[in-house]
Amino acid sequence: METFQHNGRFHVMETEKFKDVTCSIRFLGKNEEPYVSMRNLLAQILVDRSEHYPLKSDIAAVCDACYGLNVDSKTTAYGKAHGLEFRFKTISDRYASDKPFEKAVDFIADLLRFPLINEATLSEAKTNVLASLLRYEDNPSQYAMIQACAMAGENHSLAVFSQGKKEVVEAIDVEQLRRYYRDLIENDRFDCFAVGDFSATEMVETLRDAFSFLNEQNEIDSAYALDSSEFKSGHTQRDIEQTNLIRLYSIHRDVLDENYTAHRLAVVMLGQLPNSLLFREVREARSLCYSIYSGMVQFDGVVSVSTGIDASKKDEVEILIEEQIDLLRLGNFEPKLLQTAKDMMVSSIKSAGDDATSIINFHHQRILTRRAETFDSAIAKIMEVRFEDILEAVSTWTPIVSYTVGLKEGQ
Amino acid sequence: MITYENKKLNEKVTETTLANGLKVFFIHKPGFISSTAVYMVPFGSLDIRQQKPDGEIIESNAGVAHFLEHKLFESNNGADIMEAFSAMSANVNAFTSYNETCYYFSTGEADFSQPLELLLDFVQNLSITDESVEKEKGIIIQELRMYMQMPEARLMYETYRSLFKTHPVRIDIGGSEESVKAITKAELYDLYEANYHPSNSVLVIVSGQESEKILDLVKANQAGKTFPDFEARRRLIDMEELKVAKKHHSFAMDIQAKKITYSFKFNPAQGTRMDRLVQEWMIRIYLELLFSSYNPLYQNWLDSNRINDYFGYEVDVTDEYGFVMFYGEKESEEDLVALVNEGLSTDFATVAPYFENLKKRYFGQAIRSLNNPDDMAVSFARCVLLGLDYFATLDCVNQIEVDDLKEIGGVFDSAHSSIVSVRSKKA
Repeated sequence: METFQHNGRFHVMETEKFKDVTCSIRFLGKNEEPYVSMRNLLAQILVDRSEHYPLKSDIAAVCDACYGLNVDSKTTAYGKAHGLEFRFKTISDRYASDKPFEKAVDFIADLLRFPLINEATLSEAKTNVLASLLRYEDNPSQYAMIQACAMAGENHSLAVFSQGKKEVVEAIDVEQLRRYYRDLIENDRFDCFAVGDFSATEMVETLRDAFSFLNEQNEIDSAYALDSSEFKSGHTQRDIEQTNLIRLYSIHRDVLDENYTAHRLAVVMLGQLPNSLLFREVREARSLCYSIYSGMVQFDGVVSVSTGIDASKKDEVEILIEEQIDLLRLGNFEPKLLQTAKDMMVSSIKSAGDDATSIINFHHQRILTRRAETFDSAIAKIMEVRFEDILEAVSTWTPIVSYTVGLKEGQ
Repeated sequence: MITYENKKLNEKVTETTLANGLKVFFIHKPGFISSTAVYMVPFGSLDIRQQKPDGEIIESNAGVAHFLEHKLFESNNGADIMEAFSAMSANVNAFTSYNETCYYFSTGEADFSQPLELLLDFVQNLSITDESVEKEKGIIIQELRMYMQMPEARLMYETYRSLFKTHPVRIDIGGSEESVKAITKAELYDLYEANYHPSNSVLVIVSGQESEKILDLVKANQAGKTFPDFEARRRLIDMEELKVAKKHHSFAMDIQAKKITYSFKFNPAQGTRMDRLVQEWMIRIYLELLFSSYNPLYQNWLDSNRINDYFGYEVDVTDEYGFVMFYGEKESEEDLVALVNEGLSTDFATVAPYFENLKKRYFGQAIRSLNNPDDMAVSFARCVLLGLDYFATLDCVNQIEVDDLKEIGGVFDSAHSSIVSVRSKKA
């Protein structure tokens, strides 16, 4: 499998298998308000217009000249850190003689150096961010997750919604945002990744030249373990047929814990496979739901279980979820379930090598957790996990939140 | 067996048709670690009225194709097929659309012969009981409810119901709670036998491995099975008139952001499916020129808060119907109509210079779409079932010239339009 060549904060992987080149520039700052809201506004503004490209049609024309250069900006939480990513993709030189990627790099660097932050662009960004926040609220399952995290993570990063906060967004002014952007360029940790059909040495040179104005010395903390054992429950009333239930568990371990891979595997065994305990018991054996799955908020040390059910079945489903976790805790599961979880995780890691964004995400996480892991060493670590490691891992899980959105029982 | 290369796109395909009629395609992706296989049958949610060769008409319950998709994941001994795939380090899944049902798996393992055989075996064998059919109904009804409480999915459903009077596209792919409850084991067996014959199916494999061993395995697997003679049933769908079912429709949900669609029905192009695909692309390009930043009005609409970044449009042209749907988050239905009319009234000469930009954009997108083996396998299989050349479809935008777009405005006839909104219950 191809590997990244690292040169300071520039990480490039040369491979012929993709027909395009993917580049991702990632800034990391504090996962706190008002910064998170400002970063979401910047995600909108920076790819919308700039000083040198003052109209949207100017931006569209350059992107189309680069064969539909796809420029995407998004924000993501990484525990105590909050990421602002600019990802751009264009076809490789093999399919176009006019070197679209070189043009794209210069263009993106220009957008980042000369942003157009004024009343008009801020107003438009606010409209879009606020509309997006409303959409999250209108989606019952997403809203249940946001509320559950807010409840569990009080005074922690987990409580900060990565897409911003309405009151904060509304209050931000142009000067404040300009100042913050200057601060972000100077003080955020940044990493630049490129994957595709190119010469790695030349690519590093190209990227270094274009992004020389970014600071390679900054660091930031990201992963932590939520330190909470207090159980809370909450409910939002919605007139909908299906009630969305989220349960959160604190695992009291951060991503650097030596048994962390066992936690990841336990989550897969609990609710990420067709033969996972939750899927078999709650859906297949009892037909109580269509979808039930477990997940991990990795950088906060939290496990989640999500499902959509009849309101009248909430207590029954919650008991069943606890019983499935107990099966893991007590070792009352078939060893082949662990083997299947390992095989699926390994297959998933291998398959990630066929998708440029997944490759970048994998390596970015390794950098943030300061692990010198490759795909191969990550696979070896998974295969080393023993039956008893799962029991030990799940023994640390404590339920901290049960949150529902929908009707209450009897309504 | 023949192998051909598309040198422009740097793709190589080997294809063969087996003795039982199964069409098999192998797309070689050098350097790729994972492998994907797709088994697709041309039996979708629209196939609820079919005619046998002897003329008998078979009417089925809505949602039956989707129900069948669920039940195929049950083996002879009642075990779950999904579990078996997981044990082979393969991710298996399926979906039902209007026109087809698709079963697929992907794996990062170099040797994928076991899951490939399992894919062939489970799709080519239905084994269900009355009890398991009844149990599945509860799960599917939960699935239907899950989608119906998503504002976008519900708005789309209501838009189809407002646009179409008789065409089965107005019915949800999964059916209704009533139709799902009415489905029986006998109905499932009858439709399975009538629609899942190998000669009516296509298998597409996308892999970094060499094709020879894999294709030999498929041949051996199929040679070991017998299938009854196949009598193709014909899908029966009455041509839909252009008049819409409802000109206006509004419904309430427990949400905050009101959403509106404004849609137009039109007749699809006569001629071949490729002609209709080109028609769809012409409309898409026309709308992109009029309703994106290339139209100076677009920034005015944003600045005056008449649209936000949610605003967009969709185009669909099939053998039986065509429609364009605009959608936005707005309070006023009238203003969305006015805005769409403003866009459509734009002097085309002001945006025509950007036509070549869009052709370049769509060429780049076509190239990039070849990076995703899963999407590529599904798109390729669809093209085979529709009788289209997959690589030709990627290049069809190049057939279009700017002058071809001048007549497109004719499809937007307000007499055949419908406005649908989902509003807040609290309003």
